[in-house]
Amino acid sequence: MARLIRNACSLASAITNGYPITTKLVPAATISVRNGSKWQPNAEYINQFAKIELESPSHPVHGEVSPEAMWAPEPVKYVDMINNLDTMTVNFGPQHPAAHGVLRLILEMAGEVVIRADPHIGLLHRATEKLIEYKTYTQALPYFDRLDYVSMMINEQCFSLAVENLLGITAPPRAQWIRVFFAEQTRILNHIMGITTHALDVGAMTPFFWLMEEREKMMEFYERVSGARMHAAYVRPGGVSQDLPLGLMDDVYDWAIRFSARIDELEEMLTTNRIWRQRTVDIGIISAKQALSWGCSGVVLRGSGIKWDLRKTQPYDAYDQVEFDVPIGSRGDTYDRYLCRVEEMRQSLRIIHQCLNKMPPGEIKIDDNKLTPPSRSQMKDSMEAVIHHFKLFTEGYQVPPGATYTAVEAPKGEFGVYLVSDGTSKPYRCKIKAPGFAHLATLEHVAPGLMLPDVVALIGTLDIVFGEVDR
Amino acid sequence: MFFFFLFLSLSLLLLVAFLVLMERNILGLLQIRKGPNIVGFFGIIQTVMDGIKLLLKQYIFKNTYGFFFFLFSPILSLGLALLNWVVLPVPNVVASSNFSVLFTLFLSSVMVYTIVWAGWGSSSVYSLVGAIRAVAQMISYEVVIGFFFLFFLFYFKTFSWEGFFNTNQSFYNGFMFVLFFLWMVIMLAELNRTPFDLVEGESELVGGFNVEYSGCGFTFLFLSEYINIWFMSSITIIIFFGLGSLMLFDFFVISMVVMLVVFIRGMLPRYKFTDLIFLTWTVLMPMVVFIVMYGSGV
Repeated sequence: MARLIRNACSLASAITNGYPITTKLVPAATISVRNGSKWQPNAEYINQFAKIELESPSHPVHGEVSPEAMWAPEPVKYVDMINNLDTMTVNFGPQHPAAHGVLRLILEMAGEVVIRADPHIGLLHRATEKLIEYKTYTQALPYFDRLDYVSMMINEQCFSLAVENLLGITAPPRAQWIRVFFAEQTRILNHIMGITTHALDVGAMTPFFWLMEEREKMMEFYERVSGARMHAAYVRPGGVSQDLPLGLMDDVYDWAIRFSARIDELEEMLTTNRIWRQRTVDIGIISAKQALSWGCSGVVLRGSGIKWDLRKTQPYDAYDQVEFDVPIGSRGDTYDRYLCRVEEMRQSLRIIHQCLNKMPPGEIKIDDNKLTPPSRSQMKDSMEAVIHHFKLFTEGYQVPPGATYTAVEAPKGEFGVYLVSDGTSKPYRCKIKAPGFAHLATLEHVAPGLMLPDVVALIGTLDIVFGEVDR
Repeated sequence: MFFFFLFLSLSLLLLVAFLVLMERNILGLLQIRKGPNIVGFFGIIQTVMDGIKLLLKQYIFKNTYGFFFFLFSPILSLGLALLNWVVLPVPNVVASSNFSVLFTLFLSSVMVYTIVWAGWGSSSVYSLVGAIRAVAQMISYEVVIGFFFLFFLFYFKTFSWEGFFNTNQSFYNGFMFVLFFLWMVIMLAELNRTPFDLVEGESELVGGFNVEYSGCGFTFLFLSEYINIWFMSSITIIIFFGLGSLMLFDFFVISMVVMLVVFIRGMLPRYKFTDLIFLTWTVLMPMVVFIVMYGSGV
């Protein structure tokens, strides 16, 4: 077990040395029987994590992470002089319109200045991880749609890559390109939601309606490719579930050439708007050190000036074959994160154009009927195909024992799956690393000293979706 | 006179319904979506029906509310909003007075109480924060609006709204554009409209001072807010455009000002409380004082 975890965590150090790791197969020596419910952690087990914790990923440019960075200088002045009776405790949420779902935030406020913010989670907890342990790998996939329910396909992609890592397979090129194609659409889908609801929280409601229409169009692309508008279950281990329908790429092209103008419109409304700048510039600053110490990833990390994008540092699928830039911020405030998101939408658009041009012909899922179901026409002729179909949809496929931590660059940050297989057709353990969880935790450190409207803006900019925070 | 005022009040209520309809349609146009377009003829009576439904809804009252403040503030709010029109020469003056501008200022000061009472009496944290913001905001802008009117009082040498027409309005020049812009800011702040709608900023304070209200109480607060929009727009044309002989044309100009107010709602984010107060005392206040000095001294 210790070796497993060490191997999984050495991933990051290997990346900084310049070796992108695509497949990491680790034999699990200790896991053979399902006795998870009886096992208790002991001191030895706990300590090995403590050691690894110190070796958390650090960037050579920005230096090592210092635990002291986690303790920001007291943001509220004279906090010890504030009497208990001078403060007011506000239950911000779970019904609050700016709570982005079901965030319950206990705010202790002196006037309108927040002196303590305590996020409570768990109101959307659905025990996804535990449920996955009782489902086959195929059945577990749709749970990932429901985690971060505004960036569905990227979650699926992460799980699929994890299973592929364990199986030691890679998807055929066309499947990889389709994944990238839809992952970038998903990124735009998510950023539209993130930026416009943030704007809505700050009071600008018009961009929300403008861009929701675009979002609707993209969800129609989802529907055309998979049959479902949101919970697509389209990206599967071994490829994607079906090929792109005829004419979809033309329509995506038609949409993509117009969408950059929509981003311009959004920027016209917000970027140079004085009120918007007053509300966002220098609000909710997260320094580079803090971002690293608190485990931020994605835009929250990049907004603080750290260039770290898993699509670049550890390319998966076809990301090593596309060109794009990674925008980073300089101040780490809300405005920087907003600008990063806008720029990422433009870069995603760039990747979508490249996908449209470079989409290779060929298979869309791995040609191995032990893993992917045969087509309907094959089943009409071949007895073997029928048997394969039956086996796949009753007991699923067996995955060799092993463990993997596979992460993708989700729109919100690093979305990872730590998957342990015991050789059966069901995962032994599936730990989901959701970026929003770490970001929400920063609220406790960043919110004190801000005012109530700033806290609302901050929650918006952290881009929290409770599906993934609570899992 | 009394029946005229009654008629005026009823038409004001109807005007509010159409203002809300117009607001929803304009916002629909701005946001590339449809506004109300079903009820009645192309959605014309949508808001009237909404209003009736709202009036008939149950009036929820918890015994944690301050009884007097919670019940009385909507009534006072609507009463004051209607009383404002008594001295206004749009469309016709009900009670003529030589000091009608002062009366208007007096009423707008008293109106702060309705919001404070509503917020305090609701015994809800959000209402309270909304009420505190409202007090700071409205009192600050009371000062600014007072000075702003003072300029015209000096200039026209009259204290009544009617006097504004009887005097020679020869000061229309580029300076008026500055004044008009300034007035729009003051007006929006006084009306608690976007971008200064932090009293009821729905994404921060859920609904602000009127969170706890339902049914009749909410309707009254809502009506008074929107009647005030018509009122301020009427004052705008009294100050800046003057009344013509054709009442329909006046109404058209008033509607244009109201549309501008609504249009701004679709365009701008919300100010922060501190920024708003900062804006009042460091930008608007010096400007207004300068204008008063200009009006009185020159």
